[in-house]
Amino acid sequence: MTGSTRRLQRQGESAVRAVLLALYLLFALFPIYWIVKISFTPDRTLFKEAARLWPSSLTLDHFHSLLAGTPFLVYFKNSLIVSGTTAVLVVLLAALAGYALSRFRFRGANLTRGFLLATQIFPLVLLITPLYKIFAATGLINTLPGLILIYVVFNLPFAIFLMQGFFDNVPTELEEAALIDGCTRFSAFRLVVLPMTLPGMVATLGFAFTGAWSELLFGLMFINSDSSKTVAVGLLSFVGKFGVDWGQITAAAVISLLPVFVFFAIIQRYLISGLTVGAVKG
Amino acid sequence: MIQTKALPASKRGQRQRAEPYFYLAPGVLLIALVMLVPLILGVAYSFQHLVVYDPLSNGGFVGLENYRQILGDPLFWSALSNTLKWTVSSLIFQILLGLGLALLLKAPFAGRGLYQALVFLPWAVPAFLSGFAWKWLYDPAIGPFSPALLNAGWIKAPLNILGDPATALWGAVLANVWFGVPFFAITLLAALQSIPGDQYEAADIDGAGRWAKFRYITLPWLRPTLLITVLLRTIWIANFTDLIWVMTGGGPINSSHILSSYIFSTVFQKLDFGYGAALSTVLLLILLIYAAVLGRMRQRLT
Amino acid sequence: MTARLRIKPTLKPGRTSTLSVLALLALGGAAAAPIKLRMVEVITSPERTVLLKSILSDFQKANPEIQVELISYPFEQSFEKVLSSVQAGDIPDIAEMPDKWLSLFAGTNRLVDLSSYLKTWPNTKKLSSRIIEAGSSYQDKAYTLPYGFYLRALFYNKKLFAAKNLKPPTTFAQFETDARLLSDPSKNQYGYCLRGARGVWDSANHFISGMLGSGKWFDASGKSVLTSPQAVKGLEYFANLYKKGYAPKGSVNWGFNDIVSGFYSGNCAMLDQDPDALGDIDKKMDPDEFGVVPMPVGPKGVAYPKVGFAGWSIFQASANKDAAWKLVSYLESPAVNLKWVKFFGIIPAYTDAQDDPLYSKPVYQGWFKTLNSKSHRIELYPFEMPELGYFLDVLAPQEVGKLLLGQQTAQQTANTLADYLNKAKAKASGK
Repeated sequence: MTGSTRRLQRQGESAVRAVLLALYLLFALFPIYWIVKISFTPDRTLFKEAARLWPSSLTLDHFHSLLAGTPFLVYFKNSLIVSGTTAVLVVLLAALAGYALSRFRFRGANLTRGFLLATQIFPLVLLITPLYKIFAATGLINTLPGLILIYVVFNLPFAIFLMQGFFDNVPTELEEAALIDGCTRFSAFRLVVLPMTLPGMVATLGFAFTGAWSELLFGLMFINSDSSKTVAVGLLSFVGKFGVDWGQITAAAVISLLPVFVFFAIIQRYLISGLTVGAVKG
Repeated sequence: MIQTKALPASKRGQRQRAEPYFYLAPGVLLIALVMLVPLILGVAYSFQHLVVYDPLSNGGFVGLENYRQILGDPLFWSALSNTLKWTVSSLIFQILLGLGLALLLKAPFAGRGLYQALVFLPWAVPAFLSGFAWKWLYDPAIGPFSPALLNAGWIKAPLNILGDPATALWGAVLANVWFGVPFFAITLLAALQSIPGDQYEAADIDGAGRWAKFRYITLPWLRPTLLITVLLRTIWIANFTDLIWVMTGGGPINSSHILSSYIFSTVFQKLDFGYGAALSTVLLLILLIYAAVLGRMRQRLT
Repeated sequence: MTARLRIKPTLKPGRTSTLSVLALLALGGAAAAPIKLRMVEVITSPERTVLLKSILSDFQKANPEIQVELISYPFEQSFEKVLSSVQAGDIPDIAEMPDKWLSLFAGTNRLVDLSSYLKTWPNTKKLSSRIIEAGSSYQDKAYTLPYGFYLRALFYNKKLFAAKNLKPPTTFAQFETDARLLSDPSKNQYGYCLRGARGVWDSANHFISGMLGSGKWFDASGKSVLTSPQAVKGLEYFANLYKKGYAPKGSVNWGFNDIVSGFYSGNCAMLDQDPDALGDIDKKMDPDEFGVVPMPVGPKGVAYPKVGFAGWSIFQASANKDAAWKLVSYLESPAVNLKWVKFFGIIPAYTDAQDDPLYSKPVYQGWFKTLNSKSHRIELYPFEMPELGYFLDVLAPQEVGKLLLGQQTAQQTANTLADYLNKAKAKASGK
């Protein structure tokens, strides 16, 4: 191929790529845009101009009444604390367990996997009452630590499998080389294998964070007082007997999307850290 | 065998055998402590007659009666078939779009970081709110889709997706695909990072085209991650009640009920905990078998 | 809920608290600790919670030895939440008790029979007899003290009616005509905001009972009236509203949110709803855009608009029943009750309260003037039947949905529904 043909080909590819990326962005963002749009639309015109792409008048009323008239900021703070703690704990525990499932063949491995999966499969509606009893008996109902505990327990199984998958991608030659050099397995794990899975850990961190952030059922069932509610549960209170308070619920949703957005903007760099297996060569 | 520091042979063997348990213990013990009893109880309910407003006849063990009822319940079978349709179609599109997106994002471009963060947002919206939002979008009176399609001449009558038994489930599927693509995109993107660059270089030298590189290098490398993510997502999707409940409530006339929404309705509307538990156990068995099959596939690969 | 796998509760709250009260008295009753009451709100909306909180703070000022903690559950999930907490043993002292839940909690022996308190309460004789009757729906015991009646009304779009020179309907015939004239599918305009999903029976039953000329669900021999020709006619009338295109195609699966957004956006011109919808509609539409009138009357000259109620109930598990009654009686005292129900625009619990200026509005006039006399009558749902919840939430939407979509006839629909009701009724009588 000549240089200029290759250049044209590359330009063509970039163009196609750009178009595809733009189309997907449109698909992903349109419903989000819709939510944002509603949050700035006054109540009076909300339904009369419901299908318009751009509202005839904008208002900050919903944000104002949300922040000034509801305990939303408290919910926000609670969600940050709960989601952040959950995410960190989940990644740490999942990295350990995922490593075990990836590297070892041992008795009870399949039983463990089955049990972990069962906790994800069995519908929560039937587990609520016994779980509630346990948490009430240990005084964990209506507390943030109690919520963190249940969130960790629920996000851990999928995180373990996810980390197992990422560990599966890292060939064992690396640890074996380290072990031959005299490392303990744990050091090999910590210093050699774990850094290789940094993108995976970051992805898991992100999912655990968002999982806890948007979790509804336990937040609803386990927390009673306003001072301990999370954002997701707070959103539910805008759904009343006669319909959804669209202005408030979308304003709340917009604000609560921000931390997730920021979180991902920060960690996305680690998702593509580009650490490769080149270390084995030479 | 992996060598460790000099230790008496028996101790070494013991420590090696115990190793995996140390790694597993913190996480798994925590989960077991909280979940084991409720899970066992949940399954146990399926063998009892437990109707909340019928306390006098409650608690009695009825053996497999609830399960027998399931076999003859037309709603169970339609919910099962819907669960299949719902799961398979959501999965296929989420994987295709997710993989495509991951591949597009693999090579850097200006603003990639911002783009990634934006494109992840659907996953961050609480499911019930996504349901409300999509419901609005579909609505022929207050949503933008219907007038746009009418004006373009693509449809003759106002849109009626969620109110038509034939299309209600698919309306929810689209919302589910929108919601779930980021999961695959992010996970596969992370997995793509671990593919050694020299593999591609070697392929280039051999004169392999783009498609061949994808088929013979990328895909095989992704297979372990793909298996896990597919397994996890399948389980999640099969169990995903919120979206359907908010968008259609299982209707019209039960046409969009999947097993998990049917279970929810059985527990909180029919107030029959025993039957709900039996349905849940059936769902559990089906998905565990599925997981075992995928697990076998994974073992053959590694 | 009774113990399932014989898991014993650790302590019986009532017993230990009585002991501690006795101990305190024995010690001379020095510095009694404040009594803590937990109260649950379930028909929650943000503005209402504010009002409730202010009423509760007034109560606490007048009764400094009692502290009240209010827990407000999100409306859509309040049932699941209350059911789960009660089953898990986390039981409040007082709860707002909607009519539909009464048979469940009363039937599982969770609630206190308030009859003994009512006997000695001076305000009891001033309460409307229908209120006491409603509160005693379950086995004639006062398991709840209703604070008022939600009497269904017809909301209509003034602008759309004026555009077609129509007046709001007073009879079924007019209703159908108006719906027809207001419907223009080519313009995406419809006459009726039909609620086809959960809650459909409230609308359908209005037309059934109107055609029947009776609001009772069962005849003298205890059999469901649905299979009679008049009732079937009522079902057909309702189904035709959909089949003839007077309601949007999607309305077969419309829930609470869809009918109001349909009404607000002008997509459909008439809406039958509880009067407390007023507060919400007020925010979304201009006052000259909508009006409220009584529900239309059937060909026999009578109408049985859907009547709902909610009340205050005390749980058996409460350790402070007397204090709880103090709070309940405060909430139900004439001045407080009036303040509370005026907020929603529902019928108050006291007969003389109806002279309040609020109730001079046309819609209330329609009710009060003719209540129990000529056209609009009150007939309660069979709230004593625990199967009612399933009937209203699952079975009726399912069967009526099939009727609306032409998958079965009105007679078949009636037969299936009657079958279920008969079985439930037989079970209740057999108890």
